[in-house]
Amino acid sequence: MVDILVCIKFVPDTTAIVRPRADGRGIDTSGIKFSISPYDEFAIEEALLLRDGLKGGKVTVITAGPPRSEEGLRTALAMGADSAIFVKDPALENADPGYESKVLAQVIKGLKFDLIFMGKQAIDDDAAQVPQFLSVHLNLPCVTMARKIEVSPDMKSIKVTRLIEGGEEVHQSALPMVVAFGKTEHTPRLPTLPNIMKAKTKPITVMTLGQLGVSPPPASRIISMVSPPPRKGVKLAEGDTPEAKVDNLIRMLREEAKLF
Amino acid sequence: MVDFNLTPEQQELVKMAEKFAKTEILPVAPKYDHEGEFPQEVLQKAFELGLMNTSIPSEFGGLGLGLLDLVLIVEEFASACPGIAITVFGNELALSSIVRFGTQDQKERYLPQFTRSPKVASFAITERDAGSDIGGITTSVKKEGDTYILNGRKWFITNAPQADVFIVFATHDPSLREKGISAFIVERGYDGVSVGEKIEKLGTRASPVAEVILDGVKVPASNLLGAEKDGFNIALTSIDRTKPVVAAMGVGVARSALQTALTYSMQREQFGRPIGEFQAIQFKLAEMAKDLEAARLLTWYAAWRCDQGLPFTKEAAIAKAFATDAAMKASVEAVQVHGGYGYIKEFPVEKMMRDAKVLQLLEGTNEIQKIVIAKELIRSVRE
Repeated sequence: MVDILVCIKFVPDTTAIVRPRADGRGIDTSGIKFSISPYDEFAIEEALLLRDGLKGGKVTVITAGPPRSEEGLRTALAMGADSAIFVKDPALENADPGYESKVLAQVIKGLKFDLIFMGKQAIDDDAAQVPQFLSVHLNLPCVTMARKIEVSPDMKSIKVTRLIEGGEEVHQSALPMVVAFGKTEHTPRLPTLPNIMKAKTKPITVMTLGQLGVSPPPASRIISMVSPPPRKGVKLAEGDTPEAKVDNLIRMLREEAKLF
Repeated sequence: MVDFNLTPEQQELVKMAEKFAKTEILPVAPKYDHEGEFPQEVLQKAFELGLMNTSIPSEFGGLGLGLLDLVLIVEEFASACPGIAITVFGNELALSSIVRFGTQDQKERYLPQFTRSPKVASFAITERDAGSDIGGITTSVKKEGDTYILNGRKWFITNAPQADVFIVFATHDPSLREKGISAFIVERGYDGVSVGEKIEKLGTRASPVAEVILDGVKVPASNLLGAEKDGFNIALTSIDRTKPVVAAMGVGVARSALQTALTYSMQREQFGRPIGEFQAIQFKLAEMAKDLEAARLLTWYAAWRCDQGLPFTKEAAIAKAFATDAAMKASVEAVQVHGGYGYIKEFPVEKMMRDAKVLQLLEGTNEIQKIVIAKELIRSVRE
């Protein structure tokens, strides 16, 4: 039996065209498609595989965000998570990583768990700070850029393979701990239709910032946000091998040029 | 009260179907279009995710989803490839006739196997000389004791090369026309059932179509679907239910045509500016957009009426005719917006145009849909 908490963030989809709001303090979210941040999807997939491989346990997804984030939790439940916790507050729009991690820590302090999984960074602000902050708040070890995990049969320790420049690093730690995933070997699953229907009956516990009593710590705030200047001219499809270059080119044609 | 909100589950299934279409269908669609092969791999993956046979009731191992749920999924599939959509959702027509008209025994014998593996069921009604004119079929049936003997040839049968089960329509007496037709559940393995060569087509080439030959096929009486000579009603009722499905395919194609044309018109520069800045192009895009929106609402409405148990024959015919005409128009205009590039295989719009055409023909030509609509109108006055 293993209890895994997965912290996720619901962010503009990789294919969404993002523009700054008129006041420059955030992005214009109207009409934008949102998705679970891709690295968080890997974290969910790893949690589900670990749970199912051990033939028991629970995966709880947690997010702290504005009301629309509930959709991300529902997707995670449809993928196979068992339950969800939602800290729902419009004030969490553009929350600083310091605040975000404090809120998550407050939620997690009341829970029983063996592991905390999340993506190494959310792809909207790319801050890559929440896993580290969270582990400090909870006084737990933390390994980032995880690529592979292996939990010991007695469930006491975990080996985490970490991607570093030019190679891999293997860490070992006692449970519980925080693991922040990069891309792993396991492509996040699509929810099956039966699981989508089943998700309806899975519980989402909703909390507010008021209930948690977490006040915002000193934080940076966004004072301006601008779109990059329109790029013109040649763009190279880079990659180590011809195959990788072509894959990259196809991705660019699909996601950037939106040709198909 | 009008509410256009989808349920959270519907929103999830749309997202999932959209992702599936993007990752599993779009990349292979040109290959299947080119080769004209049966998209077995896609079918297998769609089956594993529970995307096939969504309407099989839960007591037979299915999800028992509604028609609105289905059309939401179909739009996503068809936006990537209508041919693959026809293949994956081809079972709906045959299976829904079993769901609607089958005996408990028939349902128990046939429905669960479709929830266990990606089997294929085909609806075999059309003949070389009987398309829109169902009453003109000549495939014959004779009863001998506890057995029905079928003889004849069925034509344009979707998914026939892969089918495990057919719903076959045959006449007791051609002079009785619509009143002499019965429907049968015919297994591929029955003696005398054979499938001819795949028929080469203009579009939807991932959806194989072939002739089915019935040569003295002995069908047990327990496989008569519904009552004897009720086949015409069974056919029309079953086809009514899949018209919104075909309409959704039209919506998917129209949507892709618009998206592709819109993107291209913003990138393609002529006379020193994007062609999308010219009103001639803008009007085309606007026309596509307004037909697309209307087509989707008509499709949802027809499906919703079906799910509510309301009469929906007229609405299904309206949705089918409108949405598939919209798909044809949008895809032709998308080619026009692309100019010469629209006509070559390196761009996706020529395929959309070829694929869209069949949607105006199957499940009753759009001319037949207008006759259905008019009949319903006249009946409402006479009653």
